Amino acid sequence: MADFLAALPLGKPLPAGLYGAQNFERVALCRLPVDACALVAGRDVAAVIEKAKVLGVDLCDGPRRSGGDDCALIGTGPGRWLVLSSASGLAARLEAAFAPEASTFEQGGGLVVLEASGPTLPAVLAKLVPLDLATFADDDAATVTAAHINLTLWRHDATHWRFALGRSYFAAFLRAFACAAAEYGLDWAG
Amino acid sequence: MLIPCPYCGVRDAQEFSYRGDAMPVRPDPAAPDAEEKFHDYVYLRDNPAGAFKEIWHHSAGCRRWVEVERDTLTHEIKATRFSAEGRRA
Ligand SMILES: [Zn+2]
Repeated sequence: MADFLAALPLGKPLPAGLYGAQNFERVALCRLPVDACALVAGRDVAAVIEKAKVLGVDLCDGPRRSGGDDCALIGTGPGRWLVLSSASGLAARLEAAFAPEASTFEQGGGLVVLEASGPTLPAVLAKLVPLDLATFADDDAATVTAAHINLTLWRHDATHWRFALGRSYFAAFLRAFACAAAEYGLDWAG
Repeated sequence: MLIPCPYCGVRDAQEFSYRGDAMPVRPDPAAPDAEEKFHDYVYLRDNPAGAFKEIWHHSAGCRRWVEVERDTLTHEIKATRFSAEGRRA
């Protein structure tokens, strides 16, 4: 089982398709086409939280996802958030909303965002992430490692989890995820 | 060993990198005995068996420096806080 990906190149993301067991409890994984920025507050975090209301966000300074108008802010550290949006011009929008209380850094080229679902997903994540994800409520987030790869993950809703990770680790993470999901099967949409 | 990070919650010690003793304070470089003070600040460390205050970096989590009050004999952790909230405030 350990080498069921042996014929595939190590440095390239896995091609879309089915991996591992072929049964109906398989895990689904897909990539989300979103832009990403890092938002870093200065000394006055309260002012940043106040300004977030412009984006329709009730911003939480903790490891949580706060949703707003076509954007989501995921806490990655005190006064720091990963901001995701499927609309264009995210960095300019954040700069206009938060400067000078917070700084915006474009991350869209460096990050990959994935979404996973399926009845066996908790069992797959239990092999990858050293956290008790069963205690996570919707929108709870964590920055942590999976297979030595640093990532930020959050519970999107009752059945979906999302991951943001560095693009250079994308291929390695896919292999680790495919191996963890092999006993249930993985449907990777690419 | 589990370390309670003030932001991330209880996490495995493997997520942290160890910095060392939290107590040394950078001496005043303008003081007349600065050379001697800096020698002690850079090189001299206590190695207590028991209560110890030390700095860990949550490098695989929130990437903040955390001050940990740990018993080096039992690994019991009494308290943690962000190191910026401590003596340098
Ligand atoms: Zn932390």
